[in-house]
Amino acid sequence: MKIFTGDETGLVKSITFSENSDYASSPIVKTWGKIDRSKSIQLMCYTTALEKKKLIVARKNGQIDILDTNDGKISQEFFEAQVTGEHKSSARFVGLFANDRQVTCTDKGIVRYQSILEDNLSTIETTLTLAPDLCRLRVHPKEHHIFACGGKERELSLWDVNSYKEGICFIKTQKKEQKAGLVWMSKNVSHDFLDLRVPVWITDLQFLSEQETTKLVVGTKYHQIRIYDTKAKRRPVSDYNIGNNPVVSLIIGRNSNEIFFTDTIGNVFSVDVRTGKILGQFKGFAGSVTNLAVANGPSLLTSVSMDRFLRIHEIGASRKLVNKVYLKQRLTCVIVDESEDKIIGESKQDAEKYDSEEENIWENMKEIKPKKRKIKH
Amino acid sequence: MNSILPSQIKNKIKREEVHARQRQEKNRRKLELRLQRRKEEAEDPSKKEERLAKNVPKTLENTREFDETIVDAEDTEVFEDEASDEFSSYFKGISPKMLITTSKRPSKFTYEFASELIDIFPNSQFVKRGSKFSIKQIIGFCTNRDYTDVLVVNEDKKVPYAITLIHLPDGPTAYFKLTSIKLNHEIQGHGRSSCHKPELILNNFNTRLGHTIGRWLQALFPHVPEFQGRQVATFHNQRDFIFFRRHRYVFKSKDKAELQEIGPRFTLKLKWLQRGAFDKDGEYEWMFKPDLETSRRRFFL
Repeated sequence: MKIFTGDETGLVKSITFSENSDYASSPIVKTWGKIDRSKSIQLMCYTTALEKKKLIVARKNGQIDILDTNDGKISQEFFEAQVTGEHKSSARFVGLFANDRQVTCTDKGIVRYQSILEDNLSTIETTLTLAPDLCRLRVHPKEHHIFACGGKERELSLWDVNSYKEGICFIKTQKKEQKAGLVWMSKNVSHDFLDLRVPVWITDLQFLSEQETTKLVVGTKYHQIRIYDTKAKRRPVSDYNIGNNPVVSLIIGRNSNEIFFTDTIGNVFSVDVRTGKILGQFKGFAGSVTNLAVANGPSLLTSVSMDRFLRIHEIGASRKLVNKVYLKQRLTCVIVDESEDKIIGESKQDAEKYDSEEENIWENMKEIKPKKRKIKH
Repeated sequence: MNSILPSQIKNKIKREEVHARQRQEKNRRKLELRLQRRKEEAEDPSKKEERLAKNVPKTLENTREFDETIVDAEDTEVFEDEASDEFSSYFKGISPKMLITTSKRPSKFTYEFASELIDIFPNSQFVKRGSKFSIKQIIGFCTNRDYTDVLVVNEDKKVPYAITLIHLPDGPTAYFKLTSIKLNHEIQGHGRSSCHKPELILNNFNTRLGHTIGRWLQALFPHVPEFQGRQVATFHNQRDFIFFRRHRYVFKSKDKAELQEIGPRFTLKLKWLQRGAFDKDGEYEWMFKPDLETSRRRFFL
């Protein structure tokens, strides 16, 4: 298993664990790049569309680098002119995704679909202008033309790029011609018990399952976890208030019924989406956890936090800390590359072995017949 | 005589007598040994050195749990990182300017303590906290007026119990528990401070977190070496408690310096460190939680 982390000083680190899936052992850490705070990494993702797996890194100064996963060489470089790291009001990246086309989004609301294939470089294919103050944009993991976004006073909205037409699409405006491309938009929850409007501030969101594009889970600044179903209604299907601190990052767990989310004081909760109950908490964090990733089929949770550690937890009932690696910088992103892993296959074999053993036991078992009572005459 | 255990003697008077005699004898033997050793060591000072080198007591500090975040002296990555962090402008020559204030409606003792804090930090100013402004607003005013730090003395039950330290303009923010305050006049044989800038001693800020705190405390004092006034301010970290002391030194002879304490004394303990400038919803870089305290030998600074 290989883990890549991005940090505040613009370094990318690759953490390689030995092949025999011993995650408790100390890994090999490689550092790529030079310390430069203007190149602070904001988002990371990776793509398999190119001939090799490549890492995509979005930086504070608007630079988007495509790195090789083996030696960290920059193979391509883009530049988002909007984002310049000098001013406080400058834009930052809030969404990044790539297959053959790379999707970037800034908090000013500019979404860019851009080709990263080497034969037609730097031709911007589509640019969407959404409302500003976005906090997160996610592209659906299977249906790449569909994405969802939300932010500060920006309701969750679902978009389809294929049906998008030129023109500014402010989410708030209700004019019909400007809404081309907008598939669905949520509606704020009803007023609270004092009949006051509930503020909206989406900090992170995820699509609940890879098969459907209709179900979404959203975390907010006001520590709510909301489930939306675009087929059912515009208001959240369920709305849970968990904890006391804003949601920082959110991820889908082993199945679409379980999510993991982190808050600003370094709590990582596992939550059942159906009931809204906390199933458990991952321990050992001293600082805010900035990003999560599930790994190994998924039985491991990797997390990076502001306290400069990469941690690996077991997802099962114990939620035990398997390993932690000190990476010297305040970390912002984590990505897991499992391509060199064969553990899932092994576990399947194990399961088969176990099954056959079980069958043997049943076959070898002697049949016990009820003894006939001797009847005395 | 030694073979008799006093506890087995049934007569109480006899038992006490035997016990006392045994104790006396033991003390006498110890004293003899010590006198003999002193004599030997006076003849041959190398013996004393050898004994002292050998006789190291086990303490919580020197049996500290392994911590991978302890900064190595040759770790270039950390030093490069520090060269561009929030406090780097101080090390490039911008002198600190500090605002000291209290929580709302403070008691008399807090004012007294704050007045001694102004005395400690050169180029600091006390501003009485009105009831109008929140800390967030005060931060805004201070940033406009080129302050580099804001120190708030928080008070509970009429006793100062915490210090919130905010670095401007972009943070970080730290919150320290404040205990064992002794003002200058409460210290026996105390001296009076002079207006000279003190020298600074920072002890045992070893981990990455400790480095941040240490650098910050350093950045509160002007970076001009002015060896006048012979005043020293010390921040001594021991088991995560940061002890503040201030002294005046004088060299009485070639190998002996005398110290005179200038108050106040107080002890700080880091509770949390936040990345931004005092934002309730901001991300915390480090926060003490009971479940971090897995052992008595685990320290974070």
